[in-house]
Amino acid sequence: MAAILNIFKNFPRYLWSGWGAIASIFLFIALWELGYQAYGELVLPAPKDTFLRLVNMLLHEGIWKEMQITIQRALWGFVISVTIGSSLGLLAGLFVTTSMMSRPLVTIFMGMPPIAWIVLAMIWFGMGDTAVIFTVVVASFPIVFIGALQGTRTLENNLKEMAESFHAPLLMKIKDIYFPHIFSYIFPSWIAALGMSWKIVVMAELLSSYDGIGAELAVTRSQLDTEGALALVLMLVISLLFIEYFLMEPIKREVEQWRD
Amino acid sequence: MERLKPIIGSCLAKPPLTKSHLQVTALNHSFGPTNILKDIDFCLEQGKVVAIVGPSGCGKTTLLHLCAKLLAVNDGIVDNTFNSFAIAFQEPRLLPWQTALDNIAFGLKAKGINKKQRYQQAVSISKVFGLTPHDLDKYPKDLSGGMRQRVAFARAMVTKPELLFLDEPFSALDIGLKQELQQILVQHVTKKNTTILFITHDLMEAVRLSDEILLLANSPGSIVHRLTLDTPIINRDDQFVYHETAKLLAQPKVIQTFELSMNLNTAVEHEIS
Ligand SMILES: Nc1ncnc2c1ncn2[C@@H]1O[C@H](COP(=O)(O)OP(=O)(O)OP(=O)(O)O)[C@@H](O)[C@H]1O
Ligand SMILES: [Mg+2]
Repeated sequence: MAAILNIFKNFPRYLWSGWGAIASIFLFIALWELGYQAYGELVLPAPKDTFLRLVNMLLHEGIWKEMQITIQRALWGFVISVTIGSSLGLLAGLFVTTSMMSRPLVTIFMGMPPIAWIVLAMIWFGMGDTAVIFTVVVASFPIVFIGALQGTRTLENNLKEMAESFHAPLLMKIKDIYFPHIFSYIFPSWIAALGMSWKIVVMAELLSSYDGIGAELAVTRSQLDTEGALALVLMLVISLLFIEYFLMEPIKREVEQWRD
Repeated sequence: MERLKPIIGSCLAKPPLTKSHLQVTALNHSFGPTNILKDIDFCLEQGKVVAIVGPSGCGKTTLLHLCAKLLAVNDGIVDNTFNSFAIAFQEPRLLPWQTALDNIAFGLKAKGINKKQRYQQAVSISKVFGLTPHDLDKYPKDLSGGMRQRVAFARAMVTKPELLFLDEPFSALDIGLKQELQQILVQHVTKKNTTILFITHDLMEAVRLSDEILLLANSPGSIVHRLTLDTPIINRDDQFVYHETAKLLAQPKVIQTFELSMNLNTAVEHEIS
């Protein structure tokens, strides 16, 4: 509870520290404008037009509904990979054999390009929700798995010994020693998995679904609607920045303040 | 013949029932094939202080961990009749994700003492250990080495154990703090009848604070010299400490164990030439 309160208390200071980030974003927009003036609007529409188009999309073109579908899929994929990845990773980390055996499997999962998974998913599940969510899970689950695995593998005997010398009960050992240690490995992997889910979901939708932001993107491509495509990309980037800096980063700061 | 050899370090033939003791008999320990400790015998009675000294790597920490049952005793007997004990480890072993205050209160929490009371006790002992309220809010990463050591020391002391194991508790402290904490320790022993087994590299510290000094020699670690000091700890002045330390340093066993003076002289000569 205190932690949550702290997150809100420190939020204004955190925002203030964001001026540098805002400056670099404006610089980026300026370069974009330059690109527009050099190449014309078929290649690179003006930032202003794109923003206006985005606003229009949000207000009149019913993009909210597509957005909602995409968010739902991404979240489902994220939740599933966090659940499976964390629990399997913890279990595998408990034993030397399982952690050794799982390593090459994880390498295969990580090394396989998501686009290959999409093709397989389309063959297995056809177009739609399942294929998209499957691809998201397959891409983000190994990240969480590795985080959980490393968390359990690196548990320190020293601290355990210390706790035992004070006759700490099991529940206290779990709460004060095992959990914080493992969490410090798992939590960053959750953040990485969330970012991954968000990116993969759009890609998977583009190829294997008729709705969602990804599918909309496919439509703009077929109509050569550069402005529309850019507006959608803009929306994705803004939402990613929002998740990253307004949701994850403050939480991360609070839970990891004991770190160097 | 071997069997008839008297056990030197034993307590009184039959320890009085009222007093607790830590009795170590014929203790050996190996890590894999290497023999680390050999034939360790000693006895620590309630209200007494025993210091273990010896060169680095001779097995002092191992002996302490065996006494505290952190390592399994495979060969020999460790008989501990104290009701409670606490350890201050050589490395502080603080929880990096908890503040100094929570770290100090760890042992109290393990005992099931409620939050308010354990914070009260932790805060009051932290004053004795020269930690400011500001320090108490810090995470271990933001504490100095000596502060971390004091937090670990306080964590052990605050549980008011009958027996304290201290592994080089003063090694990272300045002279002033060292003296202060030594004084606190002396008070605990004399007023509260606390029993202490501690490791130190400082012979003078051992002479000042202990009733018996055990000198451990290298490979395999065995007790090569014992010194019993009869003067009550509270009555020892600097004069006494200097005198006894000098006497101890003149012992052939001590010279041999620490490879003192002889080597030192040759080293110095080597340096000069
Ligand atoms: N867990 C272990 N496994 C294998 N060998 C160990 C282990 N712990 C200690 N040793 C070895 O046992 C010997 C004694 O170690 P110990 O830590 O008891 O020394 P020490 O007397 O406390 O030294 P110092 O004064 O430097 O702290 C060392 O040679 C060390 O390498
Ligand atoms: Mg040691």
